[in-house]
This record gives sequence, structure tokens and C-alpha cells, in this order.
Amino acid sequence: MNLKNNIVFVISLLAILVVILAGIFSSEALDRGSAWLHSEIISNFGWFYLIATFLFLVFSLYMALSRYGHIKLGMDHEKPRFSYFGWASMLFAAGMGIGLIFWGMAEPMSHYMNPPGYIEPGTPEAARFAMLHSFFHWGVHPWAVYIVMSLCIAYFSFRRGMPPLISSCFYPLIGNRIYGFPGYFIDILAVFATVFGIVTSLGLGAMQINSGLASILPFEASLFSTLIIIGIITAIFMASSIIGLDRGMQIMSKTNILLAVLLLAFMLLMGPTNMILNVFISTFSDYVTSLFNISLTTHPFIGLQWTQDWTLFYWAWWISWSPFVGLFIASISRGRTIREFISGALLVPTLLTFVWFSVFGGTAFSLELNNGAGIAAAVAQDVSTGLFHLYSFYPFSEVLTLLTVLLLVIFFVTSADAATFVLSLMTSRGKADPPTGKKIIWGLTVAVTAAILLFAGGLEGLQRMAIAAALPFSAIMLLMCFCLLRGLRYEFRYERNKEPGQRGSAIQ
Amino acid sequence: MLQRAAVKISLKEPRKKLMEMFGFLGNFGTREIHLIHVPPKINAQQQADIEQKLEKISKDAGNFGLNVQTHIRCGHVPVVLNEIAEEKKTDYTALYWLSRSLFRTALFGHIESDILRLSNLPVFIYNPGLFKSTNGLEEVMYATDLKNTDAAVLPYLVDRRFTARRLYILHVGERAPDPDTEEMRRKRVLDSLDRLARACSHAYDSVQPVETIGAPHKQIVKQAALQNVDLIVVGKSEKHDPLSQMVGSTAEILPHRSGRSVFIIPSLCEFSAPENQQGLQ
Repeated sequence: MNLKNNIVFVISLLAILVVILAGIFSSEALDRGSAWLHSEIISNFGWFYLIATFLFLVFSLYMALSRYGHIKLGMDHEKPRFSYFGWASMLFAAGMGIGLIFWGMAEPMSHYMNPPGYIEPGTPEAARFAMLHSFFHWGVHPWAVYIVMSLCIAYFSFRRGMPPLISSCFYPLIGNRIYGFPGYFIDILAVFATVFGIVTSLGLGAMQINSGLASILPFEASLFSTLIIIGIITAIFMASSIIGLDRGMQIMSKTNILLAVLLLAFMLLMGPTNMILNVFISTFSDYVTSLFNISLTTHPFIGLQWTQDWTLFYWAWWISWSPFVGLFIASISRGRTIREFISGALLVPTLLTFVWFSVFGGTAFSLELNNGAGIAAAVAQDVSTGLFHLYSFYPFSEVLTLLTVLLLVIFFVTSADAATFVLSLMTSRGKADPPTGKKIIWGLTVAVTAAILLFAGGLEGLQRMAIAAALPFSAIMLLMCFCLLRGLRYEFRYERNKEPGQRGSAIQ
Repeated sequence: MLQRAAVKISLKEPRKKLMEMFGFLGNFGTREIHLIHVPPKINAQQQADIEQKLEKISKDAGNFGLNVQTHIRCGHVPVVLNEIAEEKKTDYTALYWLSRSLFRTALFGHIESDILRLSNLPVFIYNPGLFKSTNGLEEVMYATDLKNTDAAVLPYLVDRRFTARRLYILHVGERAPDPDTEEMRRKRVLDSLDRLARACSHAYDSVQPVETIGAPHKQIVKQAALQNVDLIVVGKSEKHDPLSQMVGSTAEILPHRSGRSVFIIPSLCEFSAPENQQGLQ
């Protein structure tokens, strides 16, 4: 193995091993250290996250509406690799998927019961606030974060012929130094954030699947059953990863979207349809009219803690996920124009998410307000079982639970599959078809780490480490916007109206 | 070519430095200067004082072999300067650079910047720096954009009365978005600089192309300091992007930042043929 070609792979693997060992042998110290780091970052740089995320949204809109919108993420003659449906399915699966299943109902209920200090809990005002902020946290902002990352990577790799790495985006700024320490640092940081994020998701998600299954099947949720679930998920996602994106991932994502839509349609028709539609329309209107206001509000006088616990946590979490999701989305968006890419990524998953929140949130509110179903109390007790509690008020609740568990498993598999692909890509100098050996190494690393940390403790510590990585990444992403603008400006100034083969031949 | 100069005099210039500037103008082959003072409204007594001062300056300037005329006219400085330059058919405008505080410039603007912006003639800004005291012209740096300003600037650079010995031709470019395009860009730029260098080689002992990337005004200042040149020559494009309309074009920023003399030649400027100047030689 050539060390120089694998420097990102070796350093990140070793460093991750050190952190994981710390989690195993000194999980308390990791917990304390990461908790301190996390709270310091959120307290001192929360405002920065808000501004950065808002800027990403503005930047995305600008790119879609500006003259750069018709530039293709690839060569001018290239066609998109995936159909609209396949592409949108994978976008959704990689970007949101798993979290939405649980938080779709649990988040509005949590805000309803625990809003910021200036709102009375359990009131209509709290319900309105809960729905608005659920839309806000899962709306256009996370997608703007992903768009910035993936747009930059896609432009510099597919159009400018550089490897699909985050470091490639910095060529206009630092030139050949992307092949040195600064470039390695950026890529290693991206590997860190991806591994930490996916390990915690896999560990915590396996626990949630476990409790879901235990509620309908005759077994008791235990550590052993969670480990078995991790083992099964790992076997599926590694098989899918080895088969490749075109087949494994796409088929699973399409299946998942169909399952999700089926579940959504059932709940919409069998649930309080009128209430759901009213919730959707009024929250959507609230969201659109107050988008600017809530985007930059930290509630500094009352409710700051709430903003830190929810909004800032989410923003940091989306940003820490962006290297992985961004790289993955970039790799499936080749051949689309910037405008097509941004409008697709900003609108399709967001609308589906809003419908999801309206259906599950609206149903939960209806049961809570009209029937006193105790959904909010169930969520407060255990977020992962709240949804299954909701199903108990509907016919075929066991089928619904099974369907949801299946959705969870597939979403998990697609996320882990995408993460394995992205990790292998980032540690293979951006090779379009990363070596299978690396896919296996990363797949096993993620699964074994999740299993060990589940056993030894330290998963939440690792999650906080992933969120801590969001701080440097916010700055990195702002610089990426600048680099992309420079690249596009260069193309427009010196390369437009040239023959395709002559691109890049103009002098300044 | 640069034989007649319209020289703005504010009467605040240090006498010694002003004389050095008159000496420096000799490097361009200047023979005739018009000292122009543009006061606000003045009474007869003030007029007499100014005339006396200008007379003294013109007498001293005469010692450099210059044919000197003085003009006093009220009005807006850049407009009056342009009017007189047009009336007297001068070849360029010369200014002594009086540096001002950032605060004052931000509040009241900088009259020299206005002159630069409004003038259709080449503008020479004499700024020898704090500790340099010379009227010699050894090394010149021409900062080219390799676009339309070359046609306007080159005739001045290769004129035999322009007496510098070494010429640096600098191009400050923008890094291309990827390594392959960047390599091609650099090759093209170096070829173009070599072509320019060959076109100027007969007029200098040495001509050296310099290629770099970055913000033009910063890099020009940096490279000028590195090579310790006596004069920076730049073209002034009439096309401005929105940013340069706000903060000024590179040509307008340079006098503030460079701390050395700058010669700015507008791209619209027409080079006067030597035969039109026969009477002055």
C-alpha cells in the first residue's frame, strides 16, 4: 500500500481508533470532555451557526436564480445518471430518512410540551409554535447546508475534472496546497465527522428498531438483540455497498420512498384528514411568512436555552453530516444543471418532509387534544416508542409498526451504505469506484465501533464529537461558497463562448 | 510624447519634493509645464500672494530647463485642470501626491482620485515615498491586464525619451478553478508577457516578465516593493465592474497603497505623434 496515496485513510483510521479506544476504556472521560466541548461551542458560536446556515440558504437561492443556474454539474453533453424518481428517492434517503420517522411525530409533541419560556406549554400557541419549529428544523435550511457542500464538490469534480473530495473545492483559493497538509486536514476532518455521525446513528437507531420490534414481537429488548440487529443491518448495507450505487442503493431508496408514501397515505386517509390538511396549510403559511425572522432568532432574552438545545443542535448536526450527505448527493447528481439540482434538492425533500410532519404531527395533536391519548407523555417518556404508541389508536397497528420498522431498517441500510461509499471515496483520493477492501474496512469499522460503544457506553460522547466538528466545517463551507463563486466567475469571464474542447484555454 | 504637462499645484507641496518632481519629469522628456492652481473664491490680496508664490516656483522650475507657465483659475479642481490641459494641449497631467488620513479621505474624498477618475489624459502621480529622495528613473514596472490597455500604454513605454533602464512587465491573474486549466492559463500568460517583453526590448537594457496571482492592487504593490521600482505604469480601463465602481479601480487604488510614483494611462488616450511636437524639441 502506497502510504502517500493513503495518507488520509491511515491517519483518519488511526485517529478514529484512538477516540474509540478512549470511548471504550474511558467512556466517562470522553463523555465529560465531549459534553464540555459541545456546550462551549453551542454557547459561544451558536450565533455563528445561525448566520452560516442562513447564508447557505441565501447562497443556494442565489445560485439557482443567477446566470450560473444553467451550468451543468458535469460536461455540457452529459446526461443525468439517475431518473428523477431514483434521484429524489436517494436524496431523501441519504439526507433525512431515518430521523424523520421518529421525529415526525415526536418533535412537535416535544415542543408542545416543552416550548421556550415565553410560551405556555400545552396551549394552542404551543402547538402552533411546535409545528412551525418542526418545519423550520427539517425544512429548507438543512437542505441548503447539503446543497452548498454537494454543489461545490460536484462542480469541481465533475465539471473541472478534479477528484470528488472536499479539498478539491479549495483549488481556486490555495492552489496546489490542496495536495498537502491543508487538503489532508480538510479531508480527514470530513472522515471524522462522517464516521462519528454514522456510528452514533447506527448505535442509537439500532436501539430504536429494537424497541419497535419488541413492542410487536414476543421478545424483550436487550443489548444482545440490539447487537443482532446491528449485525443484520451491517450485513445488508455491506452487501449493498459492494453491489454498487446503481443497483443496491437505488433499488432500496425507491422501495423506501414507496413504503413511506404508502404509510403516509394510510395515515392521511385513516387519520383526521381535515385536521392534517389544516395543519399543513397554516403551518406552511406560517413558515413562509416568518422564514427570515426565525432563521436569525436566538431568543437571547428568554428561551436561549431552548434555541441551543434544539435549533443550534440541529444546525450543528446537519453541518456535521454535510460532508457525507454532500459527497453522496454530489455523486448522484452528475449531469444535472445547478438550477435543476438546487430546486430539486431544496423543494422535493422539503415538501415531503412537511407533509410527513403534518400527517404525523397533526394526527398526534388530534389524538392529544380531542381524545387525551397521552401521546405527548409517551414521547416524553421514550421518544423511540412514541410513534408505536400512536399506531395503537389505529387499525392494523401491528402491520403499521412492522412497516415502520422495515422503513427504519432500509433507511439505515441506505444511510450506512452511502456513508461506507463516501468514506471509501474520501480515503481513496476520490476514486469514482473505491476499492472493495476499503468499503469492507469502513463498513466493519462503523459496525464494530457502534456495537462496542453500545456495550461500553460513549455513543452520545461520540455524537457530540461529531457535532463539534461542525464548527470548523461551517467556516470551511463558507470558504467553499467563495471558491465556487470564483470558479464560476472564472468560467463565465474566460471560458464562455469557447468551443467545448477549448474550455480553460483563455488567458486573462 | 510627454513634452507638455499640466501640473496641479496646491501650494501645500514641500518645496524640495516639488523640485524633485520637476527633475523627475525630465525622465519623460518633458519640456513645458503649466502650473495650475485652483483656489476657492479669493480676493485681490490673496490673488497677489498666490501669484507671487507661483512665480517663485516657476522660477525654480525653470532651473531644470523647463518652459513654465502659471495659471490661476477658480472652480472645481479636476474640471479646471482638464479645461486648461485641453486649452494648452498638454500631453499629461502631473500631481504631487499629498497623502491624507483615511478618516479625512473617507469624509471629504481625495481630490487627486477625482482628477484621476475624470481625466482622459495620462496622469502622473509623483510619490517618492517618505525617505527616498531621487529624481532618477532606473526601474519601471508595467502592470498589464493583457487586454485592451496594452495598445494605449506600449507607445509610451517604448518611446526613446522615456529613459528608464529596466522594465518589469507584471501580470496579476486569477487562478483557474482546476490544475489543468491553471497550467494552460499560466502558459498563455507567460507567452503573452514574452511577446510584450520582446516588443519593448529595444528600449531598455533589460525587460523581465513577472507573472503572479491574487488581487491586482495588492500584488502590484507587493511586486513593486520587491523589485524596488521607481515608477509603476498602469493602464486604466473604462469598463468597471460594480465592485470597482464602489471602491475604485486598481488604477485609482494604487496611488493610495503603493507609496511610489504611478503613471496611469487611460485606454481611451491617444498617443501624440512625435511630428506634432516638432516645435517643442
